[in-house]
Amino acid sequence: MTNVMREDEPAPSLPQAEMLANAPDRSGEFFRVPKIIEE
Amino acid sequence: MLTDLTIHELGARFRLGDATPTQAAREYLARIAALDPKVKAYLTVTGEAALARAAEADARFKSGAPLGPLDGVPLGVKDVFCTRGVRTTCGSKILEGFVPPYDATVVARLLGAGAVILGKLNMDEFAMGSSTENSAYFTTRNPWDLSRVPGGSSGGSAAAVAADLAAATLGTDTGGSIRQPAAFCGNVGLKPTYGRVSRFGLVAFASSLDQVGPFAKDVLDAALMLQAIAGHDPKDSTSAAIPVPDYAAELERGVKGLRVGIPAEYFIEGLDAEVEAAVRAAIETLKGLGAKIESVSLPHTEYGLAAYYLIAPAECSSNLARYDGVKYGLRVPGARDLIDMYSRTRGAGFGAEVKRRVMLGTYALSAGYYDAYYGKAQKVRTLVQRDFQTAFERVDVIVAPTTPSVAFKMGEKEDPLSMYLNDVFTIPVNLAGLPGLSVPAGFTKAGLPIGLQVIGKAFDEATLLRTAKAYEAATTWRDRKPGLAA
Repeated sequence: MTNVMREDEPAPSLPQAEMLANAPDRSGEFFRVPKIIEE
Repeated sequence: MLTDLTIHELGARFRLGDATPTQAAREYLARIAALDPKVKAYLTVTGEAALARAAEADARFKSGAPLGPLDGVPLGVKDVFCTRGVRTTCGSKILEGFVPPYDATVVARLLGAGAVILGKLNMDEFAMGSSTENSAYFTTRNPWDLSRVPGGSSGGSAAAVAADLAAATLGTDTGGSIRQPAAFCGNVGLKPTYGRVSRFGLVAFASSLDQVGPFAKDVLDAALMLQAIAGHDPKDSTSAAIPVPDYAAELERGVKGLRVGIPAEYFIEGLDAEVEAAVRAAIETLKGLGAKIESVSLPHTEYGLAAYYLIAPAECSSNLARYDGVKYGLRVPGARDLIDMYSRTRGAGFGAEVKRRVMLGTYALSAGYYDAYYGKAQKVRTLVQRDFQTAFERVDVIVAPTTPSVAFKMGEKEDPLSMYLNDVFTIPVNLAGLPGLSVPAGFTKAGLPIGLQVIGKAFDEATLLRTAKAYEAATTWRDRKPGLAA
């Protein structure tokens, strides 16, 4: 068995606005979810 | 009618100037408008985008510089592939309204080859099923008998090709989801070797099994489609860096001297008598064409189904964890806290079969049960792989029925286990990662299509295609079309 490696070259990512566009709820540049921490 | 034609026939018309891609796209869109209300193959039709792309193809043909055999050809894709700017549901309510920001690699490759994409095709939810009855939207009908299912999970892709609602389509096959519907609808369906085609942008079901492949009106078309989508993709680390041969060039080599294996384990009780008769006749046809027929044994076949129904649910339970109502898709409002939001969203968004498999898979992977279920199933998988390895030391291809029966009636198989049995002859091929193809091999007395399965060595799709081509050229099944009146 051998590892298959490639060069670590930076490449463009998808724009943040497009990645957030499908979120059911968001706040600015974050996904918004119901409260996680219990009282 | 241009909608009758294969990809290669349509391409020839375009090159001669007898027809234009815009004419073809208009004919297909008109036929979809007239007949798809009956067949229900499409979840989304992208008419405007299709005509815009057809106009671009017109210009390329006019200037004498078409891109290749798929240029201007109207195609459809299963709704499991991400399509930039076009709703992608996977047949699920949990993805209703999801609009991907990018194209799957296979979609990008078809578009890059000049193809005109007509729309997205119906499927069992998240590709789990054998009839499209698990689609959250509607059940696709079998064009040969509208009271019957088209098979699944890629039922929309198969029905669209059979009803001439696309020149060819793409589907996916995890346990038989290309080959079984191809058999039920009377078209050529090819599941390539694991790693042959990129899965980047394919919504994952069971990642060690899923593979992308074409549905086509004939074997040459299947070869042209595979040519367009095969090959390494840096965005999918499971795609293999193995050169892609010229599939069409090797198609006419015939089967003289080819060693064809017949596995005894695929001719068992429960195999429909008409299917068995058609497959045995097909074997005689191959023999008449000069193939050397030999018996082979795949002794662990009967354990394949049980192993699959641990491995596939285990992987799906992990893959489907991403549908959490946070990043995309459905979120059910009114939750007290985050966990409650997950429960409400997944409870409302997933259908019964998806929930069944997520629960089975979660159980099989849980602490204390992992070795007994998932670990054991992986060992069985190795035995199934070794069966094929041993058989392929003696033969070049294996020929068998694609399915134990022909298309069944909607609502006929209510018990999940009887539904799972549909894939008993296709699942071992996925477990072994091998290529498999279904080619039309006749009809029952009632006029329902029968499929012949050809199984090959890893990355040897060329031999599968040439075997199927030789058989197709010696038979006339392709001349028959379903009687669908507009």
